Amino acid sequence: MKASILLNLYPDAWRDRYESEFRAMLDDHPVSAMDALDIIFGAVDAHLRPHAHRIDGAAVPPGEASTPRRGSGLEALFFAHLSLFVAVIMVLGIINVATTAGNWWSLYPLWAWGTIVAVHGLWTFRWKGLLGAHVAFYLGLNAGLITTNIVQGGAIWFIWPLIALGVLVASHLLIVFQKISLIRAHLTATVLGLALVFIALLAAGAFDIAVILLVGVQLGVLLAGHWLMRRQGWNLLATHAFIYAGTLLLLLVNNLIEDPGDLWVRYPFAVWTILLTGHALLHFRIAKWSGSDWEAIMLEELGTREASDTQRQMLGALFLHVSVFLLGAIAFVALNLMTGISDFWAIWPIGVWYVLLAFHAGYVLAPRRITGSLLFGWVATSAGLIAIDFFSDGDPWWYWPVMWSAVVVAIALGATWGKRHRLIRMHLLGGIALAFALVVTDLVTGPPLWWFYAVAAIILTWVIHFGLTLDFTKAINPLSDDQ
Amino acid sequence: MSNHQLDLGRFAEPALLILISLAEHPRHGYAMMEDIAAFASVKLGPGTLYGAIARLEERGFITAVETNNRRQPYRLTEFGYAALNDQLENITSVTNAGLERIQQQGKNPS
Repeated sequence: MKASILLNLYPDAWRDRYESEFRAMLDDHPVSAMDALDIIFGAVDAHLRPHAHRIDGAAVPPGEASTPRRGSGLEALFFAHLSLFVAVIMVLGIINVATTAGNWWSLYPLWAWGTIVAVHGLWTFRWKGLLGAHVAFYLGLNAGLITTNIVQGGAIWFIWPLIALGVLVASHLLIVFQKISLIRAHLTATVLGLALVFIALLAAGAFDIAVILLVGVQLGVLLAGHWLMRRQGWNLLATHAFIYAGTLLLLLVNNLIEDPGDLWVRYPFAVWTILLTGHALLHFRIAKWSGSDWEAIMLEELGTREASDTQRQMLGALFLHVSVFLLGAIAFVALNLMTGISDFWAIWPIGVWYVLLAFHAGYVLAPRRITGSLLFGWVATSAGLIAIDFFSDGDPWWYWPVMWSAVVVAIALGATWGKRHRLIRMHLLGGIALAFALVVTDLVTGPPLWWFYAVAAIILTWVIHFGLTLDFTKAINPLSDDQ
Repeated sequence: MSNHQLDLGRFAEPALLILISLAEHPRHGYAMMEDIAAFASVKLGPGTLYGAIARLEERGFITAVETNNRRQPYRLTEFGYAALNDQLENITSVTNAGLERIQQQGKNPS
């Protein structure tokens, strides 16, 4: 790990003032494990004394520290994610050891979430575009699958995702390091994928030429669609329609041959038709993704060029997310209607997706990304919970999750609000939310009334914190610049 | 008590070493670390070094020197020289008092 990554732990104001020269020093200085620990302690100290690095008018190398750091919000999001991951996994590990030692179920969230964290980290810090994130996903996923296969015993199946996903990684590596075009990489992946299916069927003793043909034609349709867009200038909608027609025709033939009594192809046909219709409606809004622009954007993302303006990309991604959400919601409702309307199950996936979309929208649109994300997500989740509670029987319960999650949101609001004394704001806002939750909890659960003591304790911690942080002794310190 | 005391908590010792290092001539961070290791046999970590630099700069003992280089040099201010002088005199006075008492007890190894 590069020691300079640890600079992300320092507050923004400190980084604006000292990051450039600190990095220069690290370039000169071999960093040991003890040095890394020292840098971490330094970061804690910088957070505890936010005013110690606010020097107005201090000499700053021209054109360096005064330039806003690109992507610092994304980096902060990753470190928040990492911290949450470590905290939750530690708690789960303790619960696992304390309750069901011997049954190591906590390894599953460690693996799944750990893989996501690794992908998030490499996506944030970008090694060769998205290649780092792709490789991290590949290694993380397959490490877990191999372990699961070995622990559970039986037939060796881990080899298939290892090789199949390896084909995609290999193609990505060719794009980045051999600078081949996207369509050549696609062709390589298609040939390797088809060869893999061939070998897999032979190895399993179930060789079937019909399956080879089916997979081959499907992969061929995708490759042909790519070729039409890249070489013939077809736009994304026309390409989509081509793949839609090719794939559904293939499925129809397969359906008629294998199971003519049950025309199951009507389900993918109905859902995909809705998606294609939505795409057509949106076509003019996403025209920039058509033709060669699309190729350029993809190559940029895959690591052959420097990324362009982050906010523009993020807004584009949010717009696409909203579009896909709307189409997905329509598709879920359509599927629900086709399978019977007595149980309106579509509300659950749509509801979960809507909350995720709110988190995403808050992150992109709010001036303080993490706080905005949490705030939007909290409002959306709270509204959803209130709605669920309203439509279900029994005593109301919505205020419990809403009230306690508000404590987390209040702390996050304090952490990103203002330039100075963020710890105090976190403490103050978190304390207010906590006090409110405790008072309500006490009043709802009935006697004994202890809320007064809890609120008094919170106020006491505020007084102590204010006294320590605001450093009243500076007021009578003759060395202070404030004199 | 002098007005120039280094009231810097756990950073008092690193701050004193930095002031001594800069008393000779302006230095950047890495040069300070090298110099301090040479004259005091103390290895300051990067985080400690910059924790002390931030405090010394905040209190006006040192100031950054204008440069186009990424390696930012610092120099002592007049205030810094005065504070260092007071601090070293104070240390010398304490050191002398200690040595005197050892001699009074006849425990001086030399």
